[in-house]
Amino acid sequence: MSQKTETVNRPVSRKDMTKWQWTWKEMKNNKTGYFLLAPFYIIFFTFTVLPVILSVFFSLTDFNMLETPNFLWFDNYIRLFLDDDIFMLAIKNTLVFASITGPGSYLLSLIMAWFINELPPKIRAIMTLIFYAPSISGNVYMVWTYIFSADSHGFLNGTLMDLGVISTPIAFLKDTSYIMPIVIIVALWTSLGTSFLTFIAGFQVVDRSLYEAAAVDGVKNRWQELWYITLPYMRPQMMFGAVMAITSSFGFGGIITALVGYPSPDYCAHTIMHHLDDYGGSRFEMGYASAIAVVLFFMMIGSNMLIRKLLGKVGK
Amino acid sequence: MMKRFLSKTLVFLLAFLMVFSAFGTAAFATGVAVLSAENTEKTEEKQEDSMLKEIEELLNSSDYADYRELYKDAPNGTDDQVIIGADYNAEKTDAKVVVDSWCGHDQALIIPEVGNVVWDFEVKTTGNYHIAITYAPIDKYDSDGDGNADMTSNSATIKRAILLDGVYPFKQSRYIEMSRVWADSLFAEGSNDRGFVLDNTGNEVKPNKAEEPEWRTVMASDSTGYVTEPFLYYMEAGSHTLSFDQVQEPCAIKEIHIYYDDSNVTYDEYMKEHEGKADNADKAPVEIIEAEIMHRASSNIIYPVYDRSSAATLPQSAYEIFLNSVGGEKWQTAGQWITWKFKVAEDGFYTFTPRFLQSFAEGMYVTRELKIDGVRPYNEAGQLRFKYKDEWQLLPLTDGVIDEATGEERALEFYLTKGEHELEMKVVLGDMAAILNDVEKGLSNINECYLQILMLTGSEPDEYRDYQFRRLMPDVLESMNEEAKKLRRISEELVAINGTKGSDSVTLDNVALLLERMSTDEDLIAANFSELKDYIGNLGTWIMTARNQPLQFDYILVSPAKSAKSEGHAKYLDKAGYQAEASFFGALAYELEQFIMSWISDYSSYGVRTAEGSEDFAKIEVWTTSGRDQSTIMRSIISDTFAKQNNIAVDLKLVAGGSLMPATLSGTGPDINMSMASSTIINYAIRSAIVPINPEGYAFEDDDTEAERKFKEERQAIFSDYHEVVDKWFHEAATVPLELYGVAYGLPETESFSMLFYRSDILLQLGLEIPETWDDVYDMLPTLQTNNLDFGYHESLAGLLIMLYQRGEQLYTRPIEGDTTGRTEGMAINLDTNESLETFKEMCELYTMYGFPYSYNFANRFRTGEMPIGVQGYTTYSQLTIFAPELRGLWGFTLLPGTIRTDENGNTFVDHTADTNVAGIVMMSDCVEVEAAWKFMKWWVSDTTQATYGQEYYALLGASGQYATANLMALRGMSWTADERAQLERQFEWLQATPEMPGGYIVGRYVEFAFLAAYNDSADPVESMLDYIDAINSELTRKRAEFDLPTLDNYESYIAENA
Repeated sequence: MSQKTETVNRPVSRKDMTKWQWTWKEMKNNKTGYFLLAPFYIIFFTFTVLPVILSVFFSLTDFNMLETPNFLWFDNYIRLFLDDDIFMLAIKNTLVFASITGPGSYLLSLIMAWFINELPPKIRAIMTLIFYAPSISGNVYMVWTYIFSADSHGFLNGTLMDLGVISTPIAFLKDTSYIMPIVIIVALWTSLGTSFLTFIAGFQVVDRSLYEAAAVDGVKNRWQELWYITLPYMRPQMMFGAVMAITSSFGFGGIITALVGYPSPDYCAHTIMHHLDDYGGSRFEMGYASAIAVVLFFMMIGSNMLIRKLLGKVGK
Repeated sequence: MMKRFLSKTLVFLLAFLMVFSAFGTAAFATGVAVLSAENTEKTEEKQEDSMLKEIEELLNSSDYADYRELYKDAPNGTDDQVIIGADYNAEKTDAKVVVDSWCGHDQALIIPEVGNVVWDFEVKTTGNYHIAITYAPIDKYDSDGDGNADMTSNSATIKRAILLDGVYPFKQSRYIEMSRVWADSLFAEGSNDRGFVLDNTGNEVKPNKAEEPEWRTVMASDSTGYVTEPFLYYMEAGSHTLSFDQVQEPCAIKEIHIYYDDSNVTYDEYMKEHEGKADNADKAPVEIIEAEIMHRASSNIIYPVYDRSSAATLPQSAYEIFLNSVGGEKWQTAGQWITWKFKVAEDGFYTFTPRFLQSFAEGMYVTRELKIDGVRPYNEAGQLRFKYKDEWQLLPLTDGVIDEATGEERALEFYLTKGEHELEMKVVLGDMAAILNDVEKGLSNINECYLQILMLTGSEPDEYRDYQFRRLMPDVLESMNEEAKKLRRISEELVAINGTKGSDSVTLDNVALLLERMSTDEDLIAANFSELKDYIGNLGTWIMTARNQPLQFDYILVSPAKSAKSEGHAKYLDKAGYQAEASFFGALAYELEQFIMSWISDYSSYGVRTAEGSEDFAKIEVWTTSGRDQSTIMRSIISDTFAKQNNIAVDLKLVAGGSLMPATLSGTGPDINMSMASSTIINYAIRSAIVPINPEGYAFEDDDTEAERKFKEERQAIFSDYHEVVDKWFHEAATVPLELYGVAYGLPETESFSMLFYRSDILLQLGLEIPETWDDVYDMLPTLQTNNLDFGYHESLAGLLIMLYQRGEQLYTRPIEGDTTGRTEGMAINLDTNESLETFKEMCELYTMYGFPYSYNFANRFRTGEMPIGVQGYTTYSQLTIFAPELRGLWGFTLLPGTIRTDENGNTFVDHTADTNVAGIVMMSDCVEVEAAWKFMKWWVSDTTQATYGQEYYALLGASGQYATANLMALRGMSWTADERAQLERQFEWLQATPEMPGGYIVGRYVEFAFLAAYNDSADPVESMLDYIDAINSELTRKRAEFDLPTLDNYESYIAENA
């Protein structure tokens, strides 16, 4: 009897249990929370986590989307890194592209948001809409195809020919020497998206009293204000913005295709995303495409970790 | 009058001289065009003939308005001659005509589509005469009754060119239309009391339409409807010849009446004439003519349709589909008519009150002409207006005159005798006719100005240069100014007609403003030049939309005139139970019922007459990615014919582009997939996702089990008619891309290929011939380019294939010698041979050396004349006919320029081969109802289905509705003129398709890379192509290895194994 009472009353100690037992116990205690989270987690797992795991699995097979796959072990990866020149080119392009547009769009968003934040509220709302418009209005980047059209009546060609700069039209979107700069410009143009909005929101939530306190403490100019107060205060928004910028710059395939066609002339703007599409879509080699996806996945994770490290230094 | 004619001729001559002198210098400077044109002996006789004919036609093509002006003082003809069709002049006639009985007439003259017929006749007095033709359409003519028809129709409108004394009196006389006669087959077995057949859930199913040839009399008049009155031909006293030249379709002629028609009665005269006649109409009940139950119609696309939008449409139900109205966008082209039979119980005066929907032409009205028993009772009945409103209207026919007593527009009265009558409603352009005519003429003048400037300045003129337009082309500036004035006037007219200033008149004002600025300030010409081009396009689009006169009818009431007048029209009809729209609660109840039913009704089995679950009921799922409009048409054709005939329910689903792959993967795919590109078909097929559809695809193998053998036998039996189907309907090239090593996977749906389009007016101006070979093309380039004009061609693989095939080369390597299976074909690319590399180089040089434009909008540039000649897909034809109506007769299309080759016997010939692309319909491997699915596939690609689909598509979508059917019979059956069809047939002799090979996607890619390297960076074409050969071949090898096909690496052992 007394023993029983003892068991019931014995205080639960973290040391008495294994890690898993402890976790399970905590989960049981908080079951309402888990129950409420369940709908999202089930969907998130099925449509996001599972595909990632599946693609890791398929990357080890020769899955062709219509027939049962055979197991190949690491053949796909070996071929990818040792026997695929175009993949190497794609990695190069992706890195060039991502290292310009990623930080570029991030800084652009940040600076724009900072500037706009200084404006009176009504004008701020209008300016926000103007800058955010390119990324909400779907395929509006198609205007660039008209601007850079190879037709002698295209906007840029027509204007340049009018001005006498050129005499025959230039196929801007089909010429390897123009393609990369053009797609980078367009990418930057469309990049003022979600991260831009979060920055604007971030600037709004900074506690005004902090500025006063800082002024008392000796902050001299707006730069110092930005660096020591505003940015550290909005670190969560910056983190979010960075993740968005990285993922979008790595996954920026659609707009390139829409502008310069698929594949781009001589693969000059061929990114990993395109390579993935090429094998998954045109060649029906899902196994190989999965291997590419896995590589891309790890590249993104890696750069995310890097960004996290860098952001930790803000304000220090 | 004479003076005016003289001055016109003089101006014309001067203009001609000026243009030629300008080009003369150009041609002299280059010294190529003229000389080489004379030196080339290969110009075919035929080619020259057609060009000469065109020159002649062009010189003779005065407009009807000018023609009328010329003879307006001539008296009206007093003679009345009837030419009997059978009394033709056999000597001058070159068509193979027959005198035979047709439609109950013993001595009918049967005229085939090709050739001309000539009659001699005499008029006794000089004057202006009408020509009335009594004709009957020919659906199928079989002279000896052996079942083999000598002539069959293509269901297109009959067209003939009328020549008087061997010449076209005016331009419009080249297209005289005689409509066909169609009737719905009502009261077939299993139909309801309205005459429509019902399906298994009680829906009314669209009746079949059949031709009902009958004798009709039409006056020779303008086919576009721009000239509203019938043509008057001036004839001097004495003997004449009248000839009918081939344009389109066979027909039978009974007689041709030459007389002056003076039946010109106004409404007041008509009423006076019938005043005092017995009027017992009040004793008669209100008669209702259900518009969907037609007697005859001029076109097979005018058929009963269902309106679900209004609760007051009769009959209407939320539960079943009733075909309750007719018309809409199918009944909008000038000249289309519908007739109805109706009875009145008493002699007397009646009014007609249609319940109609005119929500199509926004802010405008549409016009119809009314005839009773084939006669227009008075002039006002020739211009009945139906105003715009976004809902159904119930208004009496009116001429717009306000009745003083009631303050409303007066209802027109018609005197009808007791008994049966025939009511006809025909689409006419009414007041818009003159306007459209003027705008179209204006457009062609503006185009001419554009072209003149273009030839001086090029397509991108320099704003800052002084071109001295006023000195060099004063007449162009003058004519621009004049056109501007004309457009201003027309715009004012439009405002007067519509009552408000709408977007229509603004389009015209904009053009006028631009022209005014350009003509007054010559410095503005260069700056606004490209804007002018856009405006020309706008003007063309304006004409296109303004021509359409859509109108939908629910019913037409025939009510006694007097009682309605005394009581008030609307009130009288309301009492009789007819309203324009249902009451608020009536409409609400209907909408609610409809909403609920939309959850319950199964539309996929619409048209199927056997009950679901019974033995002869089958259901298949068909996917299409085409588009909403297209799928609506497909669905209606399926339920109207296929489901009805075969009792197979078809669940047609419109899906997004990429959904087939995941659906197939998860086993939820369709039974049949439509319009799949040939490359995708083969991609799916080699991964066994598509069923082979020829018996060869089920060849027995030694290690077959009993079950496999049985299965294969079954399938062989089902697909045993594959070859029959394919041979009957398709060009031999069409099936090539859908087959892989002898196994067929799909039936061709669409097939496209290129032809050479040319502007004959511009070529004539420049003194150029239509090029027969590529050498001719090179010869004409200097002349074109000195005038800033371009030649349009395809770059990269599309352009390369045409040239490659013309040299007898292939894209892939042929099977290796000794290979009995044929599977070694396509192991490598055939672009590394000397001949192929040479060809590739030539293709590249067209762009690098000869300056062909790399990117362009063909239709626009062709219209403005900037690109008077170019190689384009043949479907561009329909785009141009609708897009550029002002160019009618000034352009054509013909065989591709060819390459001179020598055959084995040492004879030279010109190879005109065009590359053709195919999309097909396939059966997916998950399909269970294989027999039903195969039936569906065969039905879909059959000539009748394809022709119907093509027509409906065209009728619904207009300019964009170019359906390139692969079915040859259906293609011939579409509305081509005899000349155009002849050109198409010529090209059909020169078609070649590229086989689809595993890994083939890589070829187009690298050819483009090589081309771009040459084009952008002036790389050597041969070098850059050679750079990619290895990449292509290794990809081919890799892909082939994946499917266990012999590759470059292992084919020797493969051949040894299969020897």
